[in-house]
This record gives sequence, C-alpha cells and structure tokens, in this order.
Amino acid sequence: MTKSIDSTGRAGRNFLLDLLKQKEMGVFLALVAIVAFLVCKTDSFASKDNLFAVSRQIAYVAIVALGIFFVIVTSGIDLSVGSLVCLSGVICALVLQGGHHPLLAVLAGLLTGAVAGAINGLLVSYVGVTSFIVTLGMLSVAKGAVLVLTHGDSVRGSTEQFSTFLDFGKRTFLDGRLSMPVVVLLVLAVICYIVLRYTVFGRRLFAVGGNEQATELSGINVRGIKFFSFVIASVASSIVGILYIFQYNSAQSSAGEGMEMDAIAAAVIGGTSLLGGQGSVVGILIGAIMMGVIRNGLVLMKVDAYWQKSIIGAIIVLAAVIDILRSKRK
Amino acid sequence: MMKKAWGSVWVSLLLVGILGLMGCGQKTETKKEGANSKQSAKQEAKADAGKGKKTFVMVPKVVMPYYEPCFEGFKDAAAKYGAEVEYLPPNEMKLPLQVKVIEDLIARKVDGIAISALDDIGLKQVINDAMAAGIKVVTFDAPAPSSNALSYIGTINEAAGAAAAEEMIKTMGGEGELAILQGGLVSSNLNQRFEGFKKTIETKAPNIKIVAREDTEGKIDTTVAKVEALLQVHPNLKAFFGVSATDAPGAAIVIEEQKKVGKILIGGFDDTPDTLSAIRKGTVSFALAQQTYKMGWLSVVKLCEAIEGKTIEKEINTGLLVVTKENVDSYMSEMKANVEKSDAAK
Repeated sequence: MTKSIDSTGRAGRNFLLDLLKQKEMGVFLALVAIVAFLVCKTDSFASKDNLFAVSRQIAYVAIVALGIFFVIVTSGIDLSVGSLVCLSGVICALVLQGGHHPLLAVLAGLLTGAVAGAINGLLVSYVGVTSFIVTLGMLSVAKGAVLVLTHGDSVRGSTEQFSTFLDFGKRTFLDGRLSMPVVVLLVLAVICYIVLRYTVFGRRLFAVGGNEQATELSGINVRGIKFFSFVIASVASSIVGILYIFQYNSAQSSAGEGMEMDAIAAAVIGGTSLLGGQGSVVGILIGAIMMGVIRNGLVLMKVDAYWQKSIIGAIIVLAAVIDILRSKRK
Repeated sequence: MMKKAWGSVWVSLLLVGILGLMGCGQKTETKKEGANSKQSAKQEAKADAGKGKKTFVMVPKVVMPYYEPCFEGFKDAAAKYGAEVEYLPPNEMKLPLQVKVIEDLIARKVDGIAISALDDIGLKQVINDAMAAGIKVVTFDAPAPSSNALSYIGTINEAAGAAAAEEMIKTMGGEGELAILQGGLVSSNLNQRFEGFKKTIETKAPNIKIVAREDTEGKIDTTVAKVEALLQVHPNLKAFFGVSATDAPGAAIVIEEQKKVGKILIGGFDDTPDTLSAIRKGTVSFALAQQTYKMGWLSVVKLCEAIEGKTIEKEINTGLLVVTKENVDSYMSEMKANVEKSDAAK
C-alpha cells in the first residue's frame, strides 16, 4: 500500500512499468498462470456453474481476510475470526427462529461480532495482553458459546421470517452469475479500499503498523486505532456468518472452523506483512482468489485426496518465499 | 501503579465473565437431566435404599448431538440398575483434554468410566492407570485396543462399512458412478469403514465405479466446496456416500440448491438431526444409524457386571440400523424398545 502511494506520486510517466512494479504483480501473474492452466486442462473450471460456486467460496474467505487485514496491518493478529463467523451465524439464526424480523436478526449477528471484537480490542490495546493470547481465548470462548447454544447441532429454520431472510439472500445477479456473498464482497472491498487509502484512519493504521512508537509520539491515539481494528475484523466475520446461512439454509456449528488460517494465508499470499504496515486490498483479493482457485482446481484435476493438503501448504510457503526474494532484490 | 491496578481489574472481570459462561453451560446440562429424571425418580429411590450407589461417568470425544442418545441409554440403564451417572465431555476434540478428564476421574475415585477414545496409544497409559486404581473402564463408540480397558462396546467399523455398501448398492440399483466423502483421512475408524465399504462394492457390484474420494475435514464449508467441485468434474455422477457424519448433510445442501434431488442420490453414516431432516425431504436416501442408545445402555450393564467380578467380552458389536424415509420418525423409539426388551429377556 505504501508502495502504491509512491507510484501514484510518479504516475503518468510509464503506466505499464508502474503496474509491473506493484507489490502484488508477482502473485497476480502466478494466479493468471494457474487459471490459464486450469482452463486448458479441465472442461469444467470455466463453466458458469463452477465459477458461481468458486466465487462464492472465495467471497467468504476474502471478506474475513479483509477484516483481519485491519488487525494485521497494525502488526496484531486475530485468531478468533473463524469461530466468530460461527457464533454470529448461530445468533442470527436463533433470532430468526424466534420469529423476529430479519433485519433485527442481522443486527443481532453483527452486534455479536462487534461486542466480541470490542472485548478483543479492549484487552489488547487498553490492558496490554498480546493479541495472539486474547484472540486465542476468544476463539475458544466463541466456540464454547456455540456449543452451549446448539449442543453441536445446527440451527435450522422453520419460521416465516427465516424463509423471508433466505429468499432475500438466495437472490443472484447478472443472470445467475453472481451470488449475494460475491456482491457483498465487492461492496466491502470498495469501502475498505477507500478507507485504507483516502481516510486519516486508514493512513494511521499503516503508520501504527510501520512504527508504533513513532506514531504514538506524534500524538496519534494508537490504542483507539488498534481497538477499532479488532472491531472491524470481528464484524467482517459476522457478515460471513450471516451470509453462510443463505447458502446452508441453517447456521451450522462447524461453519467457519479454521477459517482464520485461510484468511491469514490469503492476506500473506497477497503481500501483507505479518509484521504490520504493509499490504493492500487488491493483494488480499488476489490471495483469496488464489487459495479458492487452487482448492477447486485440485478436485477438478482429480488430485489424490492424500496429496491435496500438502500441495496447498507448499503453495502458501512458496508465495511467501517469492515475496521475500522480490523485496530483497529491491 | 494505577495502570497495573486497572490491568488486574480487567483480568478479573474477564475471569468472572468466563466463569459465568461456564456456569451457564453447566446449568443447562443439569436442567436437562432434571427434566428426564422424573420418570426414573421411583427407581432411584428404590436403589437408594440399597445404599452405596456406584458412580459411572461417560466421557465422549466432545459435545456432539451424536452422543446424546448414548448418554440417554447410559442414564436409563443407570436408573434401572441403581447407579449415579455423569457426562463429562472434553471442551474440544483434543487428546490432552480427554486425558485430563480421565486423570481427574482417577483422583475422584469414581466406580466406572465409559469412554469414546479419541486415540488408542494416546489414552493407553491413563486408561491403564485408571484400571490400576480400581476403576472399571470400558470403551464405547471408539475403541482403545492397546489399553487394558475391559471391553469395546460399539460398531465394528469394517463390518459397518460393508453393511453400508450393501445399502448403497441397493439404492443405486447396482450401477453408476459414486463419489466418496470422508471427514479426515487419519481417523482409523473412518478408514476401516471406508475399507469395508470399498471391498464390498468391488466384490458385489462391479458396475459401480468409485470415481473419487475426497477429504471433507469434517467441516461443512469444505464439504460443500468439494461437492460443488465434484459435480463439475463428474457430470455422470449418480451418488455420494458420506463416511463421516457431516458429509451427507453437506452434500444435501448442494444437491438441493442445484435442484438435483432424485437425480443424484446420497447415503451416509450417522443420524444427525441435519441428516434426518434431509431424509424427510427425500434429499438423502438413507443413513446408517449406529446403535448409540444401545452403546450407552450396555456400557452401564457391563460396568455393573465387571464390578460384580464377572468377566466380560472384549468386543461387543452393537450393529447398525438403516434409517430411510419410512422409519425416520420411529427408528429411535424402536431402537430403545429393542434394547430394553433384550435386557429384560436376560
């Protein structure tokens, strides 16, 4: 992101060269190569149905990754996002199942994330516990809360409000090409892009991650910024929790499990530094698309189930290595 | 100084919150038991008169709807035989947590433990310790054959896989392409089911072709994504078979959304509420219900026998029930009635 601000400063000289210098370009080219390979090697990758399904799978991870990015860029980490996806979905579904208005249910779902995120933020920035521990604890608390509420079952809908809610969410766009989660992702990505690039809050987020002490000394409210980054990450998870209900017709108690790792991986593949201060919305989208396409591609290529996990892991590490090599060469 | 003081205030607030949450969880548990214990109150009173009530504890792998009928059977049998029961699941499906539960029970000197073992080798030591401390231990649902546990009461997985294959062959009319979903490739009970399934398909239905086997990681998100991809790459697919509990309901979500109900058949293990609701809708053709109620009931019976000094069988196969649209609403009460009938006949 800081890099791309530099390049816009010199914009107009050689647009193409600038574009190639973008930090995300390496991963983007890799993604293009993988997609091209899958399009040539399989009949089904580029089919309308498959793209619909894959784009939806990607959207879930990408939204969580966009949220977690706000935390990572301040050099924190949020491990609780996956189980907050689940808890928010369960709360939303329970409110629907109680016969309340869908809007109220959505609000309850979002509020779940907001409260959990506020607790995370409070403990990290005002009490000073490391984010790793706080959010690891929250992961467990949220998972536990789901078990208390559901006993491990799912929350299925039978009320009229539940059907109204599902009807709304199952809507598709562009002649059945785009699903609701993808549309929500696109809207959120634009908002995040604007916030990170053009607002004071966005610039300060990068500053905190770049050099926390210097930022604090210059009179910026570092604690407040960190606090809000956790709230944003958790609310993004809540959005995904709610979107999952549209697809599953229910809130599933295993939804979102392990999603924190996918989100972190998507961010890192897209050039986000876990040390903070670096990364971009475009990079995250590329990272999430890469993960989704590879997962889908492995099944389409009929790769043996025993191999799939290792291949995904190797690709994540490879992306990180390439990234380091690129930045070193500069 | 001030800063520190505030820090500890926050931490204690957090702790209080967590304790509160745990308290809530326990309250709901006891409430549930309270509702059920009414019917058994009479029997309990009878047993109380005999004094020295035994305490038996059921330790499942984790909180799951699957284990609820197990504990129901455990509780009902305990009411009949005059024992106190407890239900102590680990918070997460993790071996160290289950080991810790058993260690606590050894310290408390309970009379008997029925455990669904998360791992064989990992639990060997602690189960042996419990036996050495005079606590009778049986395994139910998932065995720990390396340990000194007195018995395994549950499904023999290879046989279960074979029985599942027979049902799948019937459903598919003996031909077509079949994709297999399995939640985790390391779990030995699932692998045994798969082996039994595959062998039977290969020998009895050569016209059924297993075209894929995917790892669904026991997660709904992964299951749905894999099913969506499989439908793309195998356009002539006729059926899915789910080896673990989350597979069939996950496949059902996709098949319903793509309006392929009836065109693509689904069968699978375990009678979770999601699977049962999919059977009612006709999306899932059949589920193989393990006799969970029977596992719980027999655990108590065998623990009692062990305390009386009788030797008990090393392995007790509780068998399977096939659940279809026809018996989906009655199979559970039939299972219970059968267990009680055969117990009374003894």
